[in-house]
Amino acid sequence: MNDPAKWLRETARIVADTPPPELPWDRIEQRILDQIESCPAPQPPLSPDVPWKRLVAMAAIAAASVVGLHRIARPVSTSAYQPPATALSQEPVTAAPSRAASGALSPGMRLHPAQPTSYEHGGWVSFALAAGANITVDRSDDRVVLSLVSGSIGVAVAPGQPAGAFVILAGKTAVAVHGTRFHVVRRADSVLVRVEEGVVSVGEMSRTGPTTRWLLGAHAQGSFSLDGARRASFSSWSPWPRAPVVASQPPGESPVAEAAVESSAESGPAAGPTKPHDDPPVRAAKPPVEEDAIPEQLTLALADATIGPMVASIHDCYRSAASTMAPGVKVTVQSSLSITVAPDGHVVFARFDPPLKPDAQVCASGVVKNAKFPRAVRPSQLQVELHF
Amino acid sequence: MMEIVAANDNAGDPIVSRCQQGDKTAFRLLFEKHRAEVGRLVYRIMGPGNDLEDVVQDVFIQVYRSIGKFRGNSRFSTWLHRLTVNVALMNLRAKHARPNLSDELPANVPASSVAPDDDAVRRERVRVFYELLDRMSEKKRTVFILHEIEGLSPGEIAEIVGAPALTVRTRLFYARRELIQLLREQPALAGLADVMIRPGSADLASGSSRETLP
Repeated sequence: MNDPAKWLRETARIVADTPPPELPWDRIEQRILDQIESCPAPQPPLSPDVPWKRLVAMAAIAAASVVGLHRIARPVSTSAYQPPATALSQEPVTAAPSRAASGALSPGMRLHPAQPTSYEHGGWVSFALAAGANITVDRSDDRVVLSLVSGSIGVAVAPGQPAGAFVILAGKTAVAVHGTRFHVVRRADSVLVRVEEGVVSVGEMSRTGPTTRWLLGAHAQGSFSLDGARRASFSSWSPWPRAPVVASQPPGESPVAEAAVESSAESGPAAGPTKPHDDPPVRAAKPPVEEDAIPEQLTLALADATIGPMVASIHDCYRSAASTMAPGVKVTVQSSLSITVAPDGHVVFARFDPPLKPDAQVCASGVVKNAKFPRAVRPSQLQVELHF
Repeated sequence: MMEIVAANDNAGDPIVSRCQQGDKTAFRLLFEKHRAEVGRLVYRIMGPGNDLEDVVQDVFIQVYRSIGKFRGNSRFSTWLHRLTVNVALMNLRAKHARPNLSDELPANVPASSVAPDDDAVRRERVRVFYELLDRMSEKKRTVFILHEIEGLSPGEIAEIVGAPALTVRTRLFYARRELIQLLREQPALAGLADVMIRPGSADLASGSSRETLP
């Protein structure tokens, strides 16, 4: 070795120039989310250390525990949570609750207030019933399950609650909370769910708890049938376009697609009557599809229309990177490309084995990443042999 | 669908604040935003042949558990780098503590060097490099990687490792000296490395390739 210092510098540069292997980010994300479901919510940061503040806080907690301020279903001030001033269609959820109820929730209790009324339970959930709403309490311990017979309810759940901590049943359709603020309106043959913050899931109530068939994100609005949300249609009610739903299609019986565009009465207050032209584009989240038309999984033959141009582009990448090679030198390269394609046709994972030259690899990775495959019911694994 | 967020790296990042309140949607945004840099840093600290996926997962689990303790006294990226370094080193420690009963090469390094082009040579060189780093103390290894590969300044490294900048410079000096000494003292490694830069072969670091005739 002539110059170890030079060797070190050069090798460090090679390492720095080498991109890390592409990771299956979707899988990692899912695993992380699965794990943090069982984690306690992070504690908010303490303000800069001020000892007397800590002492005051501790004293307040001690005093509260002595006088029993943590009883359930205690009255709340109307400032704790109020439904927004904007209306959900013509439903009477707009009025702010005029009073707070007192007394604990208990299973079997029926709530049918004549005027807007707010409730709180356990310090982690508050809900407001519109005048004339009719609900029954099915469960009220560490979880709250309400059956919405008629009317509307606005809910605010503290973040960090486990999935299913708060559930509203409308027929066989369950609306389960994931730490959020949302509204539910019961109609004769459907239930309307509008999400302000966080995520809620809507699906069929099962023995083990609510399913997570449809996930509605903030500013999404969905109308669901009462048979376990087998039929659904979506719209966005925010004044800016936003994809409303990150959804998975319910397994089993395929849902029947309703018109993706709701009637103007359901398109939400933000797209209100004063500026109808500002209606955001309505996006049905993963609109229910005709499963007959798409294969269970992709094969090389089914994906040929995508793979052909993709391989051609990868060849271009390699040729471009190989143009710097010494003239007269012939290099034969064989590599195997493994691709995982999501049901919606986008590539979630790709691996070249063995990897290509770094320049070619970067270029080819971009080609694969942007490839759009046909849709399939389930994720597909494809393997393409490359010869350069 | 993920919301696209601007790269706003400061303590007042609303995503960070929402994560601190337990907002899992915000945590997904945080993951989307920082996963690439975390993946890169873990890869560079641990080197090839390690279970990068698991370590990246560990990092973000730890972020979720600890983000409540982030007070904004430093940039979030600095805090995240510090946490990433710690988790990666912890995994390295665990890996070294496990008995190695076989002489098999790391998973990403093929036993035979039949590769499409010069990638096998590069991989071997990188493997030797990390084998050298494995013989150093964690502190020296960390500052060497953060400076020589990540390109961070001693001041930035000082924030991440929680040591004065002068200490970082000292560790860098001794890290370089130790690595050079190792290269000189280890005939096997030195010989292997020497193959890569022997007269007549291409200089990989300069970007040219060592080609073989078919």
